Amino acid sequence: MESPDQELVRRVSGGDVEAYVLLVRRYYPRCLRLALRMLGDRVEAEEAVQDAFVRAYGALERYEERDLFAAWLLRILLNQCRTLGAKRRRREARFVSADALPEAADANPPDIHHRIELQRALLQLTPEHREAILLRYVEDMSYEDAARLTGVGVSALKMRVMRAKEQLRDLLKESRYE
Amino acid sequence: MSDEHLNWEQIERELKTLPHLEPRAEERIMQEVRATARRGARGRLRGWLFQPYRVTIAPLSALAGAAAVVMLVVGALWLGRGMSERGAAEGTRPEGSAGTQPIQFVVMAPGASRVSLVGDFNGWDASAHPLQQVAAGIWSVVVPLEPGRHEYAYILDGERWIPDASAARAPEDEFGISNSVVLVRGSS
Repeated sequence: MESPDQELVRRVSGGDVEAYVLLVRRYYPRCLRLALRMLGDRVEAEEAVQDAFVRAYGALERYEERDLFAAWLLRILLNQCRTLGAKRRRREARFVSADALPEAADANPPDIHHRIELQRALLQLTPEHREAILLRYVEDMSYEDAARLTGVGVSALKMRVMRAKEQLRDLLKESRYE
Repeated sequence: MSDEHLNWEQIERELKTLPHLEPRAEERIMQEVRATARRGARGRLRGWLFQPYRVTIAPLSALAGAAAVVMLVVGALWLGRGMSERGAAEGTRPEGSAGTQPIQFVVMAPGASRVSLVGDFNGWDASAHPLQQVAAGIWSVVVPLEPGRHEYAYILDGERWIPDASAARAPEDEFGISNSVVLVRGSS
């Protein structure tokens, strides 16, 4: 049976650094998925995820157990993505490579085409809209949890999600998603 | 909003596809984490929130101790670098062999709920020499030490190791940690 996050965090905080690898294994795929979707670039996404894990480790003493470790980690990751994303501006809206897609290795060429199309559309959203829709529908967070994580109010977050879906719909016109 | 024209389930399924964890990514992260852990050990000794002070005086009496504390509070003064031989004769000597000198350690640690003194003289045992809070945020203990060079540090709340900012530092050990050093003179 897997150890709960809190137990692993306590072990790491108590000096068992190697126990941290269990948290890395548990959350790396989810973090990389979010970073890939936010940044659209595999190298930068991997860098953001690595930085997030290292920063989370360095900040463990500030982690409060009443928060879910996953949500806390994702908040750090989103901050990393915002920082990296701000540096790149909107370059990502024009270029999306297949290796920036989580499923690239398993996809056949037509699928890759559509998936790139989806990723390109996603990257044309503002970072705020993009993270709102990803937290709500990919991370399956409640509006309340997603609002807490992003630091905006629930109403504002709902509005962002709604706007993001509308924009995606417009951007994906004439695609197979319609 | 209307989703009729958007096959949202398909998009959601697409977006939820999870990438795999590559072993080299895991190793890269853990290398950084281990490096951070090592740096953290050093950082604990450098970025202190608390500013500790050490004084080495004869434990003449509680009144003398209080006076020393007041002096520390108002000016963080260095009161001396070793106990005077005359003072030793006048003071109440704590437990220890005839060759030892009573050395008072004082540290300012506002916010700490307990403070321990660890050093080569007590086997770095955090329970050996707990400090007493003698005034708000001021902790003190008197320890009989053999003449010679001793390395030491304070532990706040059982977990935060701090050096003595006013004392000399020993070279970093294998963990990148530099302890404080006190030189105890022999009695004449």
